[in-house]
Order: sequence, then structure tokens, then C-alpha cells
Amino acid sequence: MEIPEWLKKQSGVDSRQSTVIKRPKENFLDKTLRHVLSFTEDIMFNETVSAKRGILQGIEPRLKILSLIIFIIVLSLQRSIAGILIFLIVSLSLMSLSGIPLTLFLKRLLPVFLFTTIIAFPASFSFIVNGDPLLFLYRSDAPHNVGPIEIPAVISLTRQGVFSALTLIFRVITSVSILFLITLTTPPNRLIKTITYFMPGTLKSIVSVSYRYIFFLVQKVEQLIMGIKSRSISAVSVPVQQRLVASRIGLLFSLSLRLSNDLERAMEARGYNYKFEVKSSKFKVKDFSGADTIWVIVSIIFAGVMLWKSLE
Amino acid sequence: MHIPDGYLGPITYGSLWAAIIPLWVYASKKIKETMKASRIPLLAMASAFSFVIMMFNVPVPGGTTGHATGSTLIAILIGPWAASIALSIALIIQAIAFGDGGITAIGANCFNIAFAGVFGGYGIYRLISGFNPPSPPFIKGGQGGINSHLIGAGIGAYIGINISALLTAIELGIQPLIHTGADGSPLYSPFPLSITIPAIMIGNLLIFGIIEAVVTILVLIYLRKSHPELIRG
Repeated sequence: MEIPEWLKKQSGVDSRQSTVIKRPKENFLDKTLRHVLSFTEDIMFNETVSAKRGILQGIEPRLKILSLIIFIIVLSLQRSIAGILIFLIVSLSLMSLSGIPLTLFLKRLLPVFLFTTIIAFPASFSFIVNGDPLLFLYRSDAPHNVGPIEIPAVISLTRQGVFSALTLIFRVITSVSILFLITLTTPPNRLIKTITYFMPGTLKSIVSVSYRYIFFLVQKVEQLIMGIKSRSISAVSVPVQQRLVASRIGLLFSLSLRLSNDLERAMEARGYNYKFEVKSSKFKVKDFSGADTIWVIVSIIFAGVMLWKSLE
Repeated sequence: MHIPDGYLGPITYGSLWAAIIPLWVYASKKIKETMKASRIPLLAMASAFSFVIMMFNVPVPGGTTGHATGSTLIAILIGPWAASIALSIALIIQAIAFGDGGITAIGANCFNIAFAGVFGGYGIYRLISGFNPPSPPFIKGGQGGINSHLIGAGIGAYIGINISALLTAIELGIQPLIHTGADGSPLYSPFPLSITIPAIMIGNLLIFGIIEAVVTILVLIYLRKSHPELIRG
């Protein structure tokens, strides 16, 4: 077979010059897909880590979640950075003892840390939190205006401001790290069962069904967005883009409605009585293992001591 | 707009927990009165839908994107009490199962988004559309026809999300007034009201409020065209 002449011609682009490939700008569809992907990745990561053998994976989930939530509440009462750091050390130690790789844990905490630092940093300056100056950055005889903004006579880093910023940063990342311990050491299905344990009957059913269908709807979102992407051949105006998204949200709602009707019929066909309440198994001390008992005792002592120190 | 753990002090988050629990109890009673027990799957599905709606990125002129909470939209579609419970469940699942939003701040987030945002937006919608609700999920155009219904929905959604944002800004802004150390250092969110209100409200008034209104109107238009059994003008 003969190669046509046009195919033999060299294109105008020099391959030596075309090594720098400009990455296309992420559009609204890519961002939505990124959210969906990161949601799926997080769930898969949680499932993998929660299946490992470790100290927290071995504790009865209800006891573990309740005690870690109490830790978060007691942490919120701490008034000193030292008190908050004790919780951070405990959280990192539990993470290590539970077989969660430190790098992955820190990778998950990094966005929270950066976001909180950006928010908290301005609080270090005297124009947000006034106090004892640590470092003078700007001085003039009197305050003056630049447009509508008033520039104070003195701008400095203040002791109280730096303390506030650091307190906020450490409190937020420590709270998030304890919350991650819950999600990373409890298989998702067990987690939702444990959450509903503390809820009344009807709410229990709603939460359980809702949790299961979140995954189904997220999968649908991915399909809907991929559908738009595969049909797109050129950029469209913002109003058209908005209509595309809104129609998919509408479609998702009608799908949710259809699913709820199907589910309603399926439940009725199986003789489901809506007055029936699923009774959760009760807390029985005899069901607890030795590790559970030790965990409860250590948790009570730790939370109690930290609570007492925070009230001093 | 979700407040994470660490930004609110115990007095604030405790008060908001104390405020939201009776509202949940009352909402559950209202749902039992107005909704058949067999509609439990609808509530569950609405909750999953409200969770997922936040994943959609919506473009706005200028290259920015944002996401809608869908609070007024869901209130219009399934009724405000059911929407309040559905959104609360979505926020609770988001916080505990996915670590997105705080545990101590669940009360505050549910109060701001699932209660004040829903009822603020829905109240404005009712006021403008003059709409008398039949049993959800079926909705109808108000006395002024479908146009007043859509205008009401758009303005309601815009105001609803801004009510949630304003409450968030106030809750964060009062922290330096009520929670300080012995030397006057703020212990939680350190920014005063003069900073939190403009910082949070500018973005919501100029971008996110518009996204919420546009999404609400366009979804209702779509449902009217493709599912006329749901909306009649």
C-alpha cells in the first residue's frame, strides 16, 4: 500500500521545540470529577487502613468513637498550647500504633494545616489582635488613610496575636487528626452502624439508607459529568455551562425520587412496617474484651486529667 | 461555609447544639404529621441528594467556580421540615463518616445551613410566589404563575445562603468577645465581627449567592420541562 503524499509531509511543529506541553486549565467539569475521584479515593483508603491490625482497629467501635468524640470535646476546652499539643502527641501515637503510615496521615492533614495557617496568620498582627509587641514592622507618627483603608501608626507582631494564631492552628489540626482516627480505623459500614446506634429508630433507618445511596449517587455524578465531557467538542458560554450542570442536578433529583419510590414499593412488598424500630444490641460489659476495658480506663483517666487541667 | 472544629468555643457550639436539638425534635413531629411513614425512603434519598449536590462545580463569569448547597431547592421540592432533617443528616454524615466539618460544630452547621438557610430561603420563596404547598414532593406555581414561582425560588435561594453565611460570620466574629485568655488573647477564631462579616459576606453576596440562585432556578426549569408531573405553572 502506498503512503499518500500528505502523510509524508512534515508538520510545521518542530518536535525539539514542542517539549513544553502547556497543561489545559481545569474547567468546572474537571473540578467536579476531581471531587468525585478524591471522595472515592478517600473511601478506598479508609477501607484499606481500617482493615489493618492495630490498637484502634481492635477496640469495640462504639467505645472507640464515643471516647474519641469525648477527646475532641475536652480538646476544645483546652486554654493552653501545651494542653493542645498533648492531644496532638496522643493522636499521632495512636495513629502509629494503629498502623497508619505517618506520611499518608500527614498528607491528609497538610491541606487542613495550610488552609488554617493562611486564615490564622493575619491574627499575629497588631491590627487584628492588639497586645504586647514582639516585632515592629511599621511605625509612623499618626494613622493615615490609603483610600478607604486606615493604616495604623504602628504595625507589629504581638505576643497575644501569635499565641492566638498558633492556638487556632494546633487546635484545628489536632481536632481533625482525632477525627481522622475515627474514619481511618473503622470500616465505613461499621462506622455508620455505630453512628446510628445513638439515634432514635426512624432516624436510624433514614441515615442507613442515605449513607448507602450516597455512593450510588456519587457514581451517577461521575457518569453524568463524563457524559458531558465526551459530548463536548468546543468551549461553550457560561450560561450554557450552568444549564448543563443544572440539568444534571435536576436529572439526579428525578433519579433520587424514582429510587425512593422503588425502595418504598420494595419495602412494602417485603412487608416492612414503618412503626418497626430496629433495636441495636445494648452495651454489655461482659461483651467487652480486655483491650476494650483497658482502653476505657485509660481514656477516662486521660480525658479526666485533661479536663481538670483545662479548668484550673 | 462549614465551620470545622476549633473555630468555635464551648459556649457558642454548646448553645447552638441546645438550639438545634429541639428543632430536630419538632421537625420530626412535623414530618410525621405531614408525611406518610412510607415516605422514609424519600427523606433518605433527599439527604443523599443534598450530600451529592455539593460536589457539582458551577461556573460563574470570570473563570471562577463554586458549589451550591441546594438548601432552598430541596425545601421547595420536599417541604422545609423534611429538607431541614435531610440536610442535617447529610451534614452529620459528612462530619463523622467523611471527616468534613467538625464534630463540635455539627450543631452550628446544622443550625446555619439546615435550619436558618432552609427556612429563610423557603420563607422568601413563599412570600414572593404566594404559593400554597400541596403534599411534597409535588409543587405548583403560585398565584402569579410559574414566573413568580421561579423568581421567588431564585431570590429565596440567594437570601437563604446569605442568611447561613451571615450567621456563620457572626458566630465566628463573637469568639474574641466571649472566649479570651487571662492576657486577652483570643482562644478560638481570633477575628472580630468587623472582619468576619465582610470576609465571609463579600464572597457569598457576589458569587455563591448567585450560584445558589442560578442553580435553583435552572433545576426547577429543567424539572418543569422534563418532569411536568412535579411542577405545574
